[in-house]
Amino acid sequence: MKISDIVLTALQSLNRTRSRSLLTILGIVIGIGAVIVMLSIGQGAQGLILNQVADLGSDLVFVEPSSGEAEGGPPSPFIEQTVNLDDEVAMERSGLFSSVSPSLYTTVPVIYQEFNTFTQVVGTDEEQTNIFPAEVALGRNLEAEDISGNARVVVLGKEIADDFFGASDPIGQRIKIKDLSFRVIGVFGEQGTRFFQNLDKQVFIPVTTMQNDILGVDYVNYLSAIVVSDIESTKEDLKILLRDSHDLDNPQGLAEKDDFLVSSQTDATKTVGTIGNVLTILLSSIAAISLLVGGIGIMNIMLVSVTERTREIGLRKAVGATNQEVLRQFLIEAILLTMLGGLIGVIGGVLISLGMGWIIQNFFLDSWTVVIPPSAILMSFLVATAIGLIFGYYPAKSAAKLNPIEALRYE
Amino acid sequence: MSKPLIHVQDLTKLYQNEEVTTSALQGVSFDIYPGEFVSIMGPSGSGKSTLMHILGFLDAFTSGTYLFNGIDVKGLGEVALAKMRLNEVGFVFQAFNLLQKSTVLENVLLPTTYTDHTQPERIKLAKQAIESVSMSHRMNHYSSQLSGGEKQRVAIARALVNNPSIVYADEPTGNLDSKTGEKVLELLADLNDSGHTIVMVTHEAEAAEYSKRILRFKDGLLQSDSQNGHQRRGGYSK
Repeated sequence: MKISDIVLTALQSLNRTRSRSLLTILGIVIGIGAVIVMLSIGQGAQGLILNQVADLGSDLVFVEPSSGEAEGGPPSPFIEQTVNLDDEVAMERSGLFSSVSPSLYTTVPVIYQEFNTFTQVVGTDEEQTNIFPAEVALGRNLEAEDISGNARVVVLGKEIADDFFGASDPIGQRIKIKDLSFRVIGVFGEQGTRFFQNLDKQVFIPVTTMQNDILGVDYVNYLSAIVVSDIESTKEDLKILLRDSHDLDNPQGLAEKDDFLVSSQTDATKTVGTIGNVLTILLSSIAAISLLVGGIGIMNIMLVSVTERTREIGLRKAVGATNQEVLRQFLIEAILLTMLGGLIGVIGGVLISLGMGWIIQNFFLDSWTVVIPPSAILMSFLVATAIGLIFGYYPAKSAAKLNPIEALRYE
Repeated sequence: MSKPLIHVQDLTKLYQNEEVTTSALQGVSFDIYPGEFVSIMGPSGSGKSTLMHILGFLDAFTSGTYLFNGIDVKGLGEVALAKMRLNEVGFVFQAFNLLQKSTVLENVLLPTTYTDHTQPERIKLAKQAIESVSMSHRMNHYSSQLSGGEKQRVAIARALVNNPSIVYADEPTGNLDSKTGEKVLELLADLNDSGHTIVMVTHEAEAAEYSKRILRFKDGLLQSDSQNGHQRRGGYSK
């Protein structure tokens, strides 16, 4: 018996129990569909973050406080704040960097006349725009004198400026940040989001004003810098520099003894990649469970089918089918079921992924890209086929083993 | 006479349970020649069904000799036996055993799917077989839509489709009323006239009337082997 005949026979048999076949493969459909959707969204998110990381440029380093844990741990809000403007000065003097800029965040009420909004205020300096390029649409950026003079001046993100002032000129207007009056000196052009923060809703003030007048602290959240030469050797030099200025005794350079963390775009890429891999393993495990359940469903229905079709099996043997041919027919029925399930699952998964991608692009993150990993589609088909093979074998074997005389007498 | 199609010598069949051994056939010997129409008769338990299963390569025998067309059946394995059923034998069952949700054509095509014929060849063979039992007008009907007599004719077409050397009919009229049964028997007689060798298991004397030769069995032994001098003729399809 040719393979094409077996496939045709199997298709005819499945067609005779159409609605049951479709219900049977639902488990596989959902399992495979879920894998595709989850992998698509996971990879989309990973791609988005990786793109933003890549946009930063490969010559950036960041210095943030660290409680001495292993490198790459998540920043904790309860961490001891050890990075300050003295570090910035030390870095600038070292000549290792072409630009160094601090960042210190808080979220407070920002008020202009009747407009009142709770938004993120960034304390920084004039060099921020060297590191994260931003176009000044109106007025001017922060300047060195604003920082040294503790000036109460503010540069607005585009959305805030539009909300507050509409078509009228904001330059020279006064707004209140945490009850203190600030003069608007500039407005940034549209910047979009970076790491899920809407830059157009932020306002930027001198870091010194932020430290002294708003928060009353002497630290900064992190320092960003552009390195002049090789990034890896500069990172090592920077660590030594910071250990000096922090009076740390750490000649071996153990990460757990440092109270700061130096990271770069490469580290961020690695971290994102690791998170992505963990996510993929997690999702794959969930998918594996649902596919296992689906496979057991297939085995169950194939066993029922063998029992129901005992006479048919007897007949097939009586007219000349070998055990092998009966085995193959039932095995191929099971495989066709799971492959059909896989196919519907892939189509459904791809459609849902495209739909969700469209929704995310249009309503949440316009920089989202829809990724449908071809490897996931291929894998889904292979897995679906394998499930048919594994869970179809036992029922097919029991069909092949039937004694034709008894099978023909079966009521 | 020519070489026998079936040569059986001292054939026995023992069924073994955990405790009891039952003897279904206790040593039977006979020959069947091409072109014969033989009835195997006997009460239930006489071993006639067992004999037919053995002759049809569905069951193994315990001892003795069974030569089919000169081939020693004893030495054949599972695949070889399946090939014998495929190429040499057509079965007609009491309960028809048609696939309910398949059409007449699909049912008759079933045995051809295990052959090496191409699909157009298969359809040609199936149509010829359906034509030979005068069921062409019902070709695309589902078997569940047919009457009992029609079902048995389709089953006969299915038995003929691979052009077998012999047709085994196991109580072919058992599920039919006497009038429909007669028509099926007439059909078998016609097929015999056109050259098919037929072996029919039956316990009805009227059915056996249609055959040329009657083998009577009792308690696993051949009681009598007689030519039927007053064979009822076919003429159904004429």
